[in-house]
Amino acid sequence: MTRRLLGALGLVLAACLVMPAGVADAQRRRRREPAAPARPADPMQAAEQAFAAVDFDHTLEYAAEALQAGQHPRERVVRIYRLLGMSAGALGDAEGARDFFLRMLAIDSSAELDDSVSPRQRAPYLEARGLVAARSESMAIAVELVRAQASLRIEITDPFQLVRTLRVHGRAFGAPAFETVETPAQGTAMALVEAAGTADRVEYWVEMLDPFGNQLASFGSEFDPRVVGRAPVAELRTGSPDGRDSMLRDERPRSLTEEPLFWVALVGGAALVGAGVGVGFAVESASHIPVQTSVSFGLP
Amino acid sequence: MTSTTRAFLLALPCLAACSPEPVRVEVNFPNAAAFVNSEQGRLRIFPLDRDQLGLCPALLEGLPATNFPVPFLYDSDLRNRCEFRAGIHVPEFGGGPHAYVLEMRSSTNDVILTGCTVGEVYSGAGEIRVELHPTAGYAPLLTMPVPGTPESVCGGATP
Repeated sequence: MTRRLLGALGLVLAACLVMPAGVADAQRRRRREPAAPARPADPMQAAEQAFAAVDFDHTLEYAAEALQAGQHPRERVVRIYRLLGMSAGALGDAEGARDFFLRMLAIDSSAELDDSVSPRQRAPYLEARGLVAARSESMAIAVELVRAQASLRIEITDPFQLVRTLRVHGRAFGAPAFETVETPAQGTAMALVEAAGTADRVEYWVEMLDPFGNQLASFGSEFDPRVVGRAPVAELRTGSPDGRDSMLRDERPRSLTEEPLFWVALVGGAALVGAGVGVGFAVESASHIPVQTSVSFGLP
Repeated sequence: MTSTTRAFLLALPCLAACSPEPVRVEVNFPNAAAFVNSEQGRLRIFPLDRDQLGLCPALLEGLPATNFPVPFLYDSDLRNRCEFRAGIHVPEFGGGPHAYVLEMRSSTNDVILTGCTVGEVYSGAGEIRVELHPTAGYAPLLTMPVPGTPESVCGGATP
């Protein structure tokens, strides 16, 4: 008997817990209110969905969440900043919008807004564009091989101070796989790449990342890496005193002016240019003759 | 003096020597009185195709209304007669046949002399002679005294 009472009480309690939701659903159905769409788990999708629904508050919230989630490729980072800028502008925060657009344009100076954006929202974008255009520099790197430290020395240009980390992928020229290292992005960064200690030439590509690991810029790619190191060297064979050939390697890279071909090309080029100018001048002279009048009277 | 400047100065005489001699367009007046009676003149140059070499009569018919069948390449505008005597320099233009059309106007602005010649200028070409012939507008001047000589109206020696 006692067990039967306890079971009933449990059922009642369960019904009390379930009922409010069921009643609310029923009431909503009765009033024909649309149920709020479920928010996608991906904050980027959620931001896009909110933006499409002209819900700028949530667009801001979700886009910021997406940005902080990190690990986005450059194109998506540009999209996130565009969403943030347009939402902030729509909500009347012109300064915030300009800051978001500034970041967007710093990453991709060709990024545009849709034509549908109103002039009021476009103003912060145009202001940001002017600020970016006023800076002659854009994100860039200059890489050198530092063999003694088995490193790549990377000088960073980051005019808007957006880059926090460099992700450097390097391998000996022609090697199958890249090794990847991350290094803080200061003015000059040293990236330890094992192959840099031994290889004549190192293939690399570099990603610039923001504090959340989002990609802001990429220099080279896995399939189109850049190369740093000495140019391919000439091999010289000389006869050794003991009669055997020995292989010598010209370790010192020759400058351009030390190349005989350079001087041949220079002299030949100068001769060709001179001849071209002469012929051109002669042709020009032949086809354009000045004319001058004079006067005579009567039959000559 | 830098080597570049020296090289440039050395090259100048060569460049000057290479510049072509101007071709002379001789304006032939029937006589000195016709020159004196002409107050102003105008030279126009028309580029012609090979099938337009006989265009002079049509070009002269276009005077003075400038109703020409082809567009002109150069127009001196009205110049004092003495400028023709001193030598008008025509800007250089390309090769091929051209028609040289001249009209001279009296002090009353009537066209009194016209002439047209088709010629081609090229390096080493001889002079181009444009013979001027009186128009009907010249008739009244025949009965009037000639107001001077070429030297008196322009100064200097007879060309």
